[in-house]
Amino acid sequence: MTRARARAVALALVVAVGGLALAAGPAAAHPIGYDDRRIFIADDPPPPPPPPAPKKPKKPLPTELGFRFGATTAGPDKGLGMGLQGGLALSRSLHLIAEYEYVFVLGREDDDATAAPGSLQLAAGNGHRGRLGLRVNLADATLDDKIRFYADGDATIGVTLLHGPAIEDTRVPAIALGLRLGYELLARTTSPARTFDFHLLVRLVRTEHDTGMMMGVGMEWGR
Amino acid sequence: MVGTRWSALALLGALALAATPRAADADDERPAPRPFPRWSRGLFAAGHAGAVAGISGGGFGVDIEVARGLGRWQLFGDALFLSTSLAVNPTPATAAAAPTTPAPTTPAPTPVIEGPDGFETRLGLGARRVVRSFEPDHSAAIEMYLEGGVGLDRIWWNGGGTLTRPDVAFGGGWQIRMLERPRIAVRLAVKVIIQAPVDDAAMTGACLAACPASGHHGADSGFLAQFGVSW
Repeated sequence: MTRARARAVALALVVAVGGLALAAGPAAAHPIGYDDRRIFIADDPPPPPPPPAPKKPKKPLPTELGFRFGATTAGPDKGLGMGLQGGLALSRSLHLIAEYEYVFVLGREDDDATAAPGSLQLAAGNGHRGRLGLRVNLADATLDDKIRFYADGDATIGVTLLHGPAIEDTRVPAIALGLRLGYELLARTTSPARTFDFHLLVRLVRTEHDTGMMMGVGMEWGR
Repeated sequence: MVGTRWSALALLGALALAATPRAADADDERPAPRPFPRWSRGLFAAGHAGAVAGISGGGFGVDIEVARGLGRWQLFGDALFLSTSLAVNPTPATAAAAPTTPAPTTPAPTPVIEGPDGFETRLGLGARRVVRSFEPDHSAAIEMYLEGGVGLDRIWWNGGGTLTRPDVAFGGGWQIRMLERPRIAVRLAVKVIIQAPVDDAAMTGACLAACPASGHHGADSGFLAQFGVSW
């Protein structure tokens, strides 16, 4: 580098540094001290508070709906029932259950003694049974998130209304304790129902007349 | 008519239960059940256990159905063909064939006692709705449905005469429906059928000789079980 060229570069540096100093100069020379500065916005309302975060919609409790076929030996009449059952999962292991059955009375205990041989056989009657209760999980095991085997216990109260050619209008309240054994298929895809359940149910039923058994098979779809 | 009144309440209850899943749909991200095919046919084996003027009876036969799909709903018409007979209490001869009796070396023929019998048809119209559907994968669905309808039932007694009664029916069923071709469904259904009372004018032929014995003047109820295929 020649001496003349070095002098030109040094001059250019001096000019550049001087320009920067001039550019920075006005900020340093602000007439109001930093701590005394204020922003005044005349007649403006205070800014609105930020909108609250949208509430997450409350997820509905899982429900079950299905049907069951069963037979019972409790009460004054032997009956066959079929009907709907529903459930509401209060927690993973506790379910509120409601059931409705249309009951066909198959016969009475004294049929054999009173039926005249060769006579036409009367239809005993029919009726309606409703039950409410709680179901609690006693044990379960899940395999590969595909199928769940379980044992549940339930306690219900209910009433049966009977009517028919061979019986008077009768109301039969009952309490029952049951054991339900079954399995649930668990949906892996976007299935409309999250589970499909098949179960066997055995109940000990106490009426004002006697104590008997109820047995049934059922299916349930869970959401 | 207590039974009829409670049956009507039961029908309303069943419909209310059927409507419940619909309310849940709005809050649930899960998809709705697949719609029914636009048109479908069905063929089912059927068994009916009911009564005529309070006398137990029933029979077996077939039911054919044509249905129109409307989303989750299906409107259907069906025709039921059954053999039917009224039940008779066993005679002492049949009671003697109980297992407690030592088996004779040459078994005596058991007498068959039959009541009035005949041929029964029922034409029905109704609607069903899929209320729950479980799809283990994308090829099939296990579904629950509820249905209700009305029908007209007629019995031709072998001993002469006929009996015609209107009825209402409600019930439900379970089916496995293929979602890919072949689009068939295997179905098991049970429904309650409540038939109009048999008045004196309707008792003709064989029924005239047998039906008044019961002294029953109310509605008769029974159930119909069906198992078969829809496509």
